[in-house]
Amino acid sequence: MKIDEVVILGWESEGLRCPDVRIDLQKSRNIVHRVSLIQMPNGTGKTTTLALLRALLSGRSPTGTSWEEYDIAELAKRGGGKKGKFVVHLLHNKKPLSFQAEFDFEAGKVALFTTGQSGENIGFDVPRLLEQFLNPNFVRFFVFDGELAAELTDANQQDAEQAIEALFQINNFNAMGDWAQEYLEDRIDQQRKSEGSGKSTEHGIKQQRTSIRKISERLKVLEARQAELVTFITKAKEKITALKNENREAISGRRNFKERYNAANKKLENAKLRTQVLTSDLLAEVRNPHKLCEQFAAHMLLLKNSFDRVKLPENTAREWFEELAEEENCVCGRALDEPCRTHIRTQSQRYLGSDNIALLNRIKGAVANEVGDVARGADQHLCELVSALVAANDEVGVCQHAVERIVNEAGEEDPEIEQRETEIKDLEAKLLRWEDDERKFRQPDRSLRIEDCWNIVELTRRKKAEEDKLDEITKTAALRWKVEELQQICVDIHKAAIAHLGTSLADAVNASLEELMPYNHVRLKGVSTSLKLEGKRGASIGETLTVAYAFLTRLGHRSNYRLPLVIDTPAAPIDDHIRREVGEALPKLVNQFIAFTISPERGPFIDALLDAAEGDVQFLTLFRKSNTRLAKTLNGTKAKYSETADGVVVEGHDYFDSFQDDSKYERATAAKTKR
Amino acid sequence: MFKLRKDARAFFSRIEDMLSRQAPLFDMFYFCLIAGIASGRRVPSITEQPTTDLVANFPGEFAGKAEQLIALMLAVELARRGVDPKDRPSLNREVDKLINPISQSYLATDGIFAMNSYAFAGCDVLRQEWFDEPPSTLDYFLLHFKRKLDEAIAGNDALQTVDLNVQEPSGDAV
Repeated sequence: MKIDEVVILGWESEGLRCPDVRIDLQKSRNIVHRVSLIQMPNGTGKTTTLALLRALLSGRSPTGTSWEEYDIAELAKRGGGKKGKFVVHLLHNKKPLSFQAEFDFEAGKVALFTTGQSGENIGFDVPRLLEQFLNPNFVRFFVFDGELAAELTDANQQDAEQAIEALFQINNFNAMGDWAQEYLEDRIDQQRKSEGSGKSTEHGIKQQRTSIRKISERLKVLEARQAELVTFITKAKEKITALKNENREAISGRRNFKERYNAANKKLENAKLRTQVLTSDLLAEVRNPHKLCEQFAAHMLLLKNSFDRVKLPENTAREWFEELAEEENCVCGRALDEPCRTHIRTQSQRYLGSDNIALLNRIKGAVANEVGDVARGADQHLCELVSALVAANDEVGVCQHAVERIVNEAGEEDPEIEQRETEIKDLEAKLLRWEDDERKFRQPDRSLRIEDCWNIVELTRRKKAEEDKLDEITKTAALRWKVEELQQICVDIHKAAIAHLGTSLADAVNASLEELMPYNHVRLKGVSTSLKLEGKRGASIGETLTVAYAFLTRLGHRSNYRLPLVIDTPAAPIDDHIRREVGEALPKLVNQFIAFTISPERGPFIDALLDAAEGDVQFLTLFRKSNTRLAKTLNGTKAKYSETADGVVVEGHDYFDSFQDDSKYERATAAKTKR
Repeated sequence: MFKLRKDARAFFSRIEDMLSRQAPLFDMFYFCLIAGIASGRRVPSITEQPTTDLVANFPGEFAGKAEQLIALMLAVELARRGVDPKDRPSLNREVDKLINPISQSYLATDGIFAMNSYAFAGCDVLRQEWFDEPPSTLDYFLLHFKRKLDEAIAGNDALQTVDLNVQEPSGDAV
């Protein structure tokens, strides 16, 4: 299996907020340490360095916007010069690749450069194979952004799915679908050109395409809005149920309310049930027109009576006369000639056919059976049902008031009950509006203008009709069918791949979590758009981080790509007893692990890193030269160090271990983050 | 084919789930039909409004009520056409135009048209006169519908001319 590998060789910073430094992560030429630990006291530019690493590796500014929208003055060294530079050096499959940003603070501009095999190019010119990783969304996964840990488990985010898509290239299936569509459009164009179609056909094709495009855009908007509304409605219903249950428990839990409240609710439920039954009975009754009102019954009876009076239907059917006209002689014995036969046939039209007779008899029978003899009082039962339903509705109203009174009383004692009631009413009002809005997408709508049409099924139908027309004009019907089949297959594969990978990743992550946190019982239920934790309990920051690390490292391990993992204070928020396990796991699951650490993380975490990396750990300590206390520690040290105008980088484990930064501040920060 | 106006469906949309499980659209058609008959309104043409084609028979709960509904339609339509109830040939002729025993609905083209035209007009009666806004609960709809039906019939002279105490004639009934 071919593996694509990216490692960070190091970076350089000059003229920026962080000290001027040159960080080299190599242990020999083009071979990096498995683990590089960079100890930086607070205020040394750790946040700026990480932000710049993400920026240079994504082509966007530190805030994720384009560089044009970013104020680069924020990166300038205080009291410093007019220019600055940041370069990050990589190896991609053992070939050098570097990204450079040159800042002109006076002009407020930044110039980007990419240097690869072909030399230096202007701009952020990432190799095609790395596009899916070196972008603002994905770079956060390997130059780890602490907020990402919470987002990975947030059901409203889709970071987990995006990571899977990128690493396993599943998004290529979407690209395949798009490519097939482009191919179809291209063939339509070619067909048009080769047939030398006239102006009117050209115009027709253009019109069809415009129409299809408009409908597609409208559909996209409506489908997105409908999906959004469905989510709102589902969540609102869940929330309302949850709040009602909470209030029910809270009120039932209060001794002075429990009995009254339960009794009132029971009465209300019974009243509502009675209303439902009466409504159902009334609907059944209403479906009989003669029971709906006396006048209908009377007119139906009148109809029957008038038929009876004139003896309709007759006993003799039209067919009898038609058959008679075919005979030699009439029933009276007289011979029938042609004029007689014609006369009989003409007059036979005055009589009903035998089928008509049967139907009329059934109609009369139905009226006799259903209406009876007299119309007066035909709607009596219906009127009784109406009265009963009105009374039942009144009863529901009375019961509802009784319940509300108790809830209000309870609310006066417990403001949380009142608050929940207010929230319930607010949500119910919103729910009605959202349901009305959502209904629009399903209601029949034949608006002529696409912009006025809300029915998604109707628009889909119209789009299909336009596409069929286009196919007819361009004779590409068969090809379109194939393209649609291919697109559907791509969608199905994408879905199945995400589901399969999600399941197997969840198992792999849980195996890691079993080692890392055997007693915490934080486990994944599944992986789809986000990481789904089992059970309802939330996870602490430390637990969430551990889950995120487990996910990222398992993800990287499973794919054909090996990316470095850069983390800021990886162990600070994690419980002590888990640090060792995390330290042991991380180096085994990535090819290169770079951590910006603070002194409180020394101890079990770093010891575990050393063991796991089999001693291949680089220790760097970086501080500002202006910190005279720290600068003094260099006096008489045997450690190797380099310095610039304002920065010092010291190599070596001993110095790293003995380094005393402004630790009270560091420890307070670490404790706060852990909480 | 019976036809339901699309705006009728929109009118009933909030209570559609509460109507017949098997044939909710026919329930809607029925209410429009009754509203049109009660108000004495029909339309001369049914092509101007967008419609949904329903089935060609009486579905669901109405399967056993076809004869009743046809009886009601015959009663109002024959009266509207000014057919003399004592004139058998005229009755024969007009009834023949309205019913068709071999069609799924037992109605001829004229008969189906008559029902559709009352239903079309009835849709406007419901939406614009009887209800201020689309009903959101079924019980409210039914109670209000009955009240408005009674008011409409009270104001419809054609429906008021009948004697509620009329009985079957003695002798030669079927």
